[in-house]
Amino acid sequence: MAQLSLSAKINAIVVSTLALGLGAVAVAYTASVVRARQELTSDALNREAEILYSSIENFMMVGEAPVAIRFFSDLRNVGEGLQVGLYRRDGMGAFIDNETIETVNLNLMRPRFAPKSAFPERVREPERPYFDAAAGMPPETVQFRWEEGGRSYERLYRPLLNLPKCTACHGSDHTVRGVIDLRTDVTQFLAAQRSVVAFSAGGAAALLAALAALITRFIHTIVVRPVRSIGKVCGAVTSGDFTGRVEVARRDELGTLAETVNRMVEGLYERYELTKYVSRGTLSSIAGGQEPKRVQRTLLFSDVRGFTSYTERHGADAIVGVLNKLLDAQAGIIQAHGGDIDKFVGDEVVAVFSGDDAPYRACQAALDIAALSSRAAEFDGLMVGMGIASGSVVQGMVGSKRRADFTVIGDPVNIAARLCSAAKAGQTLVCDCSYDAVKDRPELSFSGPYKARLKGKAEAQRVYLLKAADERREA
Amino acid sequence: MLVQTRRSAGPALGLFACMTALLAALGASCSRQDATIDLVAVGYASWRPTTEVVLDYEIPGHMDSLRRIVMNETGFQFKEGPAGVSFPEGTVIVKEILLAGSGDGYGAGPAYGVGGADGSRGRPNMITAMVKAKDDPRAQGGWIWLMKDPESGMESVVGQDLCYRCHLNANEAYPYADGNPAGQFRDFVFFVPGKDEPAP
Ligand code: HEC
Repeated sequence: MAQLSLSAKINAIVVSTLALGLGAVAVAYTASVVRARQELTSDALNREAEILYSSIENFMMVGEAPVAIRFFSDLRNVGEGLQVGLYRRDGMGAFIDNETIETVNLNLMRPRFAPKSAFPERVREPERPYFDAAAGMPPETVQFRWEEGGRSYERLYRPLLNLPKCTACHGSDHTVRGVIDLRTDVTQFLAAQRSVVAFSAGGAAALLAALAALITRFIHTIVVRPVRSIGKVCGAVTSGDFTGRVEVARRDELGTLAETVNRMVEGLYERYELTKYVSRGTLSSIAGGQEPKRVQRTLLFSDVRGFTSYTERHGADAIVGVLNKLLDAQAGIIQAHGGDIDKFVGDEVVAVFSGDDAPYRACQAALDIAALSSRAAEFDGLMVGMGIASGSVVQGMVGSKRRADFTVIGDPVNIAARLCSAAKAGQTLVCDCSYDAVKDRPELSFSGPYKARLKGKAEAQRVYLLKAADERREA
Repeated sequence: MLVQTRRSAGPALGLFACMTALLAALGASCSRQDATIDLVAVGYASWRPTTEVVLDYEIPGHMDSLRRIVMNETGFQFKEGPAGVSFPEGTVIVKEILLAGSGDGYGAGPAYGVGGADGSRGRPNMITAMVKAKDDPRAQGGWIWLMKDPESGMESVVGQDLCYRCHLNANEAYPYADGNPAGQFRDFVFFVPGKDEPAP
């Protein structure tokens, strides 16, 4: 889940960063193309309007309306891209009748210009409200986009002023004399512009996809995959498998991490192996704090009988093998009954049982250990004597700062040890405190009580002898 | 572990922030910025007029509204040489349009305030001004052309060539003041002090 979301996150970051970056570039590029196109068209239109303005100004100064008319009709043949028109300030076409000539003659108070009889064809109606803005107060040049007959035009209305020098003929009662109408066909430009937009959008998208795939793959190889294999090894370790190793042959941080993880797994394996040699009590105390505490426990002590004579007979070398076999068998039995090996001291085993039925399980373990004598051949006739005592003990870390054992101390420990040394080979002596807890169990039988003088105890103790299963059957 | 994962989002967030800032900057550079200006001095009313002629005759632009032209002292240092008249840098000429007239002139449109139809004189309806600033990018013909709304005191520079175009006529023969019969360069000014007597 976490791994999945890591690559999802990386993908999201890569894709959105690229989208923003490429998007910004594409938008900026497209915008600049569009703006450049618009500026070009607009500049051209304004320049053309300027030329027309100056031309008209100069024709009219000398009253050359016929030249102006010819000029305008010639301009119609300039090319399809550009169309020119001229309006009076009320929106009527210029030069379409004798109205202006009449006014001029009136202003000059003499028939300066002869009325005409032939007029060019009428220009079409101007586009309101653009025209009104151009011819209004203050007069201003208006530029706008116009669609007509499936074609697109960039258009310009350029007001012509009633300049002081015009007033002699035209009078001073108006500010705007007329409006130039210029239109340039931008259909092709717009089509080109659309394909530029489509191209840059498509290009950006394709580039985005390709780069995203590439970078994602790259990041997957250099980050996600090593992280996953580290995760896998860690997962295996958690479930007890220490054989896995991360294979990342690289000299970057992840390579170092992989090496560290590998070393860590090795270390963990070593420690895991070591835990076999440490009592469960020690382990759980390490996990759960090491404060000493007073608890109820049953102690089982066992030690080997005939050890000294065995050494004399077989030599010191042979003893270790057979002793280990015997201790191992005992440890297995104790653990099977839920006991915890507290320590091995030479040929001696100290086991601790906890829980409500601790005395019962300790007795069961003792019976099973005693039954090992049936396999006497295996242990070269070595047998153990055992002692069991229950009661309140102090459990805690005992030792130095450098080397300490988690163990139990208290009267029951001493009693169990004394009972053990008092027991003969194959015997288990049980103190009355343990006996009381198990006497009603039908699976167990005891003989006694016997009075026993134990070292370190002033009064004689009541002790019981736990009987082996076959002894019971016989009884 | 968690902390590190969180941290790794930092650079990405930073990147996003940068991108957004970049886009915002791009956007901002596109929107044009309005110049706030204060070119016409508040106390201009005490300046000297450039002409004694009563400007109440009809002209295109202001029709028959009453006009009053005043100029700062810098302007009165203007030079006249073989190349014509030239006003020094920093010259400010203010023309008040005082009365609303008839027709399609400045005085009649709502943008310029109507008022004064009863012939009362008083606050101007409109203030136009020319400020000599050759190197200013807004200048046309060496002058910044502007209008000031007397109500709000808001000045606005005229970007199009409306004013400039008409005032070009001051540099050739025209029908006002002395009429500039020789077509002398008059630095776009119709009423140059001392030249308001019509040529004989
Ligand atoms: C249609 C022509 C025309 C236009 C357009 C025009 N003016 Fe004028 N202007 C004149 C005339 C004519 C005068 C002479 C004074 C008078 O009769 O009012 C003048 C005078 C002036 C003066 C006094 C200086 C001088 O030349 O004597 C100023 C200042 C002025 N105009 C500013 C402007 C501004 C600013 C604009 C643009 C908003 C503008 N004008 C537009 C025709 C025009």
